Amino acid sequence: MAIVKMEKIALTALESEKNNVLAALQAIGALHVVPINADVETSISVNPFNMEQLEMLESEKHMVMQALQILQKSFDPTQTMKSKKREVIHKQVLTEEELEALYADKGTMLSFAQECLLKEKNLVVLDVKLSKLTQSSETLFPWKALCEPLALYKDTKNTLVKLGTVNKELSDGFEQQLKAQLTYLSLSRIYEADQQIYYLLICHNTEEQSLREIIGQSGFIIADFEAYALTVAEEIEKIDRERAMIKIEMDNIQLQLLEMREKAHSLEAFLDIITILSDRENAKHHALSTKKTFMIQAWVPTGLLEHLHKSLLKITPYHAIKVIPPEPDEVMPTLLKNHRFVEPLEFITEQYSVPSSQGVDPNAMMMPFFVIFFGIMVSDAIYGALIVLIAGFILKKLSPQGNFKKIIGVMVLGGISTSLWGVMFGGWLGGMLPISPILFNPLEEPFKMIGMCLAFGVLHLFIGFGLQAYLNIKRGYWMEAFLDQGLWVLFIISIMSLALTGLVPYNQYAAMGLALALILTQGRRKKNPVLKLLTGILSLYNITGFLGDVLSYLRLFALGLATGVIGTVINSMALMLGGSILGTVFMIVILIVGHTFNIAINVLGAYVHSSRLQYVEFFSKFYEGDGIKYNPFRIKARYVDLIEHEEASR
Amino acid sequence: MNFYEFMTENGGLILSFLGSALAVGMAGWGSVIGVGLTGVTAAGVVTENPSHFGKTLLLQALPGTQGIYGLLIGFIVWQKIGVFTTLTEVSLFEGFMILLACLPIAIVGFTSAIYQGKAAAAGCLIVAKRPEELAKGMVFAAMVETYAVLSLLASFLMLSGVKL
Repeated sequence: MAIVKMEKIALTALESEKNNVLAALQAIGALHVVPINADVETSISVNPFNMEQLEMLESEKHMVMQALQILQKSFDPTQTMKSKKREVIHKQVLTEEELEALYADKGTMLSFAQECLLKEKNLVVLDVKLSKLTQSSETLFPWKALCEPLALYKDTKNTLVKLGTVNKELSDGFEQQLKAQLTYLSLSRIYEADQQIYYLLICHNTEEQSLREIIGQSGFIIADFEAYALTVAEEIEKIDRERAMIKIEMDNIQLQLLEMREKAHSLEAFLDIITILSDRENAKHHALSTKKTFMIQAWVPTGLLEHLHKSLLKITPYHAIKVIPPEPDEVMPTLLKNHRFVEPLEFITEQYSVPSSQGVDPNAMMMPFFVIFFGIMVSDAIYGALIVLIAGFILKKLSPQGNFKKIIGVMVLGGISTSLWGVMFGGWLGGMLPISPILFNPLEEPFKMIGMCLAFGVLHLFIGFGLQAYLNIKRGYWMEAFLDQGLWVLFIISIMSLALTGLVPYNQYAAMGLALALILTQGRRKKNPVLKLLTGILSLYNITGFLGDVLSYLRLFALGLATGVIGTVINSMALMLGGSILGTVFMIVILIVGHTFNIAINVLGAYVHSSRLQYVEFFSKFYEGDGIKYNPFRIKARYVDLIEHEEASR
Repeated sequence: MNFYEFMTENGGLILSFLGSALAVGMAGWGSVIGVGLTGVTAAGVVTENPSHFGKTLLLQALPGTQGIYGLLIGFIVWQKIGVFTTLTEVSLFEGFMILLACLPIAIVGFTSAIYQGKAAAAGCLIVAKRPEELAKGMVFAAMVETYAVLSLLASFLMLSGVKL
């Protein structure tokens, strides 16, 4: 089906031309390079790969990426709003020589990145300092009433001077005990907080022993002001000044970072260069070298070999490409190729698992069902049109890439289907426009709707069985395809017709015959004849599983119901307000907010539940995941374009 | 008028109101717990990495649907008994039927929202470690919702059987 066939090749070329050949291969971007089997490695004498260059490139890449992240989140501290303006990227066009030259001149770029990291580190240090100062200012604050310098609150020759706090609940007991046991005592409450009471306590030092006891019992926590000399107010003022200074310093660094951000472009281009080079180095890591030659093994889509050969001839005549058999357990990487209307669905499938290259690509079969299910679950003509408009706008204006593009594609398809089903069921903005349905109104004729949902379910599941049968036949297991899938489907059909039409004579016998056939064949893998029979009988129990699967499609009805009825609720809430001018304004606001909410929550629901119907009900019948995604050795650059030398000289 | 007479006269309407109140209240209560649970975890994940806000918000929205399903059933009941226009006569028997019809979404809505909230909260942890696997977390939560959807359907079908 739509899984691209691949061949494994071994490419051999001259060691002296290694860099050029690899650069050319990277430009072609079609080789999924794999490590060479260890057995080969030991049989010939090889030059060991030097990891140093690769490690250096990787660490440089890491550093530049970090620096870019720092620059991206830099902001202007003097403005409250973060400016999000992002300049349009002009791709820098480079030749191979220019690329190497730029990398050779890496000193400036790396020191620039280093500077960014250093500034960020300074910011962190300052931030820690700032929070420490804030903390000490908070501890000092309650003692503001002490008007003498803190250095004076020390024990004298004959007295003990203590500053400290006691939990509010224990404070009464604390005060009473002190008064009862100490003859000379001065105790004053400096400050009362929610939980704590702050005391200044002075007593004669001959009574230290009993003071200690009371302190121990009441949990008096002595405040330590060793580090402070001035009065509390002065100390706080000093701290505030220091905090202000640190803040200014931090703002300065932020501004510097913002200025450096201007130069982020060249750093981004440099990141691309490092990425290209480190990918190349990584390919070298997978290659095997002798004194004069090197070899890499890779998967290539069938049909590209000729192109590969021709492109390499431009670089060097000394190379050989040979198709080799894969290792016994080796898995071919999976590359999907689908029609552009099916392609967005690849995202849904890959979220489950990358299809195995040995199995089938389910996307083409899945696409109509996913889209139909999505449509039924939202089913409102106007909502659908809005979804298509928004998704189309994003597609046109933002020109999304990769997975994001695929999600938007799914939304466009789902939106179209939503509109169609809205027309079918008469859903126009939650029933605001009284246009009668083409098919029927699910609210008025729920049983028709239920029948339709179940029919879609049966069809979907049968296609699942069909795909498994296809896989079995493709692998030569004709018997399995007939006995496991064929008999089952026939049995289910006969049971269903029994349930729907009652006892028509032949029907009954067909069902009984098929059941018997299943009992006799389903246990065929068991050796013991008793187990054979038991397994056969138990296999009939699977019909309940099938029933459960089919009933699961009732969610199509229920979620469609939810959209319609919530839409109606919003409409009637809004219409209650209509009449006066103010009322009309509120009405419009409620309509807009309400329907936006309804679209958002139902699109989310439709997406999740359509996916679930594929993953749980459909995929469980046939799907083989755990594939390896085709990841070719190519130029992964966002800010740089690499061109061949001849083009540049032209 | 004694209590017996009062009940025979108004019991139908009272039971209908009780049913719709249970449907809206219980399902909404469950959603409150579920959404709250997910929110707590989501906030933790966002503390570590603010860019996960959108993804975790999607997960947090999932256990919220039960409350909506409950409201939906409540709304159908209100429409049936004429809360928005003039109240219709509802016999005691019909009132009981409406009350019973409201129970599936009230009970299953309540419990499923809580457990879906737990599954969604665990989904937030998936996002924390592997943001690209968001869809898997969503499917785990959606598995729980199946039963809320089924009970919504059950309540709806039972209600459509009560013809006033």
